[in-house]
Amino acid sequence: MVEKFKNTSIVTKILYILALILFFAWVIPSMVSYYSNVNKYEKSVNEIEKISSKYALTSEAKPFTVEAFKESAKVLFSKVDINPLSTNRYEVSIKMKREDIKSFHTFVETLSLRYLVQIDGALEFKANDEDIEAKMTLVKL
Amino acid sequence: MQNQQYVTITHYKEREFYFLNYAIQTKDGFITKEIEQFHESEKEQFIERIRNLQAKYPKNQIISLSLSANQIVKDKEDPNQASARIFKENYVVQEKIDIGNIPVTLYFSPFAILYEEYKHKLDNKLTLMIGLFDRKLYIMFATEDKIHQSWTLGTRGLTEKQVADRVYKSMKAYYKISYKFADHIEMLVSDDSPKLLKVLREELSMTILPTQKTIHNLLHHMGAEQSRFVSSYIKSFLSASPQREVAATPRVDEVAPTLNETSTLEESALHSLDDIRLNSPIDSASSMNNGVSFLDKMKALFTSSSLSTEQVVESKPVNILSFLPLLFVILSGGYFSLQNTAIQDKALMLESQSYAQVNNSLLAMTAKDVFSSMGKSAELKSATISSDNIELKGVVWGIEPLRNSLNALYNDGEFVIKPLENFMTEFSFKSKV
Repeated sequence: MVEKFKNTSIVTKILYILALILFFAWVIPSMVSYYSNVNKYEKSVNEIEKISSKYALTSEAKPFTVEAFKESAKVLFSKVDINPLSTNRYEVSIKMKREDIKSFHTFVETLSLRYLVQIDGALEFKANDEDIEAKMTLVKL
Repeated sequence: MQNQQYVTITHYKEREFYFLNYAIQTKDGFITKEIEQFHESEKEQFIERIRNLQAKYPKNQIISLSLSANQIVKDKEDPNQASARIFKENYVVQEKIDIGNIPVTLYFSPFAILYEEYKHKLDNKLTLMIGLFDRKLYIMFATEDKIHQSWTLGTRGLTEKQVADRVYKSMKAYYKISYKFADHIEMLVSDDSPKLLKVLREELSMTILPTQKTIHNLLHHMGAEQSRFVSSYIKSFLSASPQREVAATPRVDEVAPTLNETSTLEESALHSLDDIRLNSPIDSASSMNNGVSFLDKMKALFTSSSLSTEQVVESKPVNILSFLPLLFVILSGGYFSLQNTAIQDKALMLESQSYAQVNNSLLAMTAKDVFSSMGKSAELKSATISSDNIELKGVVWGIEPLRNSLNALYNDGEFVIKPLENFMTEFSFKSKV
């Protein structure tokens, strides 16, 4: 083996050594990092799935779109308004009957399991005798 | 009486054939017998035939030729390699001798044969000596006192023009290091190559007087006299191996005096065969252990490479397969890098999603607690609920139950009540979460 190597041309030797250096300096670290990230990813997936199963959600979180969000929220609440604030930020206003407040809490709890979105800042509530209006700012993930 | 004759048995391998010949050595020269040819699949018969000849002629030398491409001429003997002295200051060196189990007592380099053939012609002018053996050119730049440079050029698959180009390039390469061109060229060919000679003459614009001799005849000539071969054969572990029939020393001592009465004791001392250097794996290993460190081994890899590059640069084209390891590494590295970037992005997204989920759950829990704490004691009018603090406002009719309920959740909160004009009471509550 060593003799074969010795008998090869200098260009071949340089190519082999370059390959060896790249293998140890680039390929192996990339492989290690890749498999470590795969483990991390699988762990996160398991965690999310475990939480989703508590709420009987089976599908993965979808990317946030105004239309889809509005449609799914309208089924639960009286009125849903969404106004874009800036790129990937939206002001959401949801009007509901007082007795629907529990549904709203569950809706907030499961929001990030259904859409890749997060609530930024505070929830603001305003209530009168019959209705409650909730306002929040959503940020796309 | 036949068995008292000194016989040189010569053999070499060219492509897939072994060629065998023997010659009866006399004072007037040698008388060759018919050349025998064996296919490599008939190796056993070939060895058997050598043994028969040995049995028939007890005074014999079995002579072969090293056609290895990586042999070079050096100024110093390399203790880790097989070598043969061909000038006072020059040694032909090659990695090791590997001839399988074929009997050999004398093993020559084409460089030694070239030197033997032309040494009487050498003077202080630079001579380029070219030997063509088995489609390889063995090239030496020499003067009467030493060999200045050597090259081995492969000619397999090349046209005569390309071969001539390579010879010319080797001359140019030598000119670059010594600023000298050869004054004349001698060429020893072991097979008939009139076209190559013609092209060489044209390309180099020099007169080349070729000598054409068969390898067998050259080897018979080398083995004819002890003074001729005593130092120039390649010394290897084969010569000293007791279990093999290749022990050169006793045979030389037995045979040589009958042929060369003129060899003096001084010459024998100078070219003593006692210096046979063992090149067996064990000896190599022990010598490595004794003086050659790992660093030296690594250096040797590259020292050898630089020399061989210079020596056989033309005969070692870069194989396309040499790129394969690098290609494989680049492809696998690229694949893992891309996959890693993709999985990193995915993992990051999931991490953000998990964080968002936790944050949203906390907000929902806080809101749930706040609304349930109102109970039948109050009615919430407005609330700001974040993960850091809460601010509530509403109408209360059961102050103490509400205060207790809120304090149970947030004990350091600020609970304020304010009577309204319509006989109702307003409350406000602020706290950190």
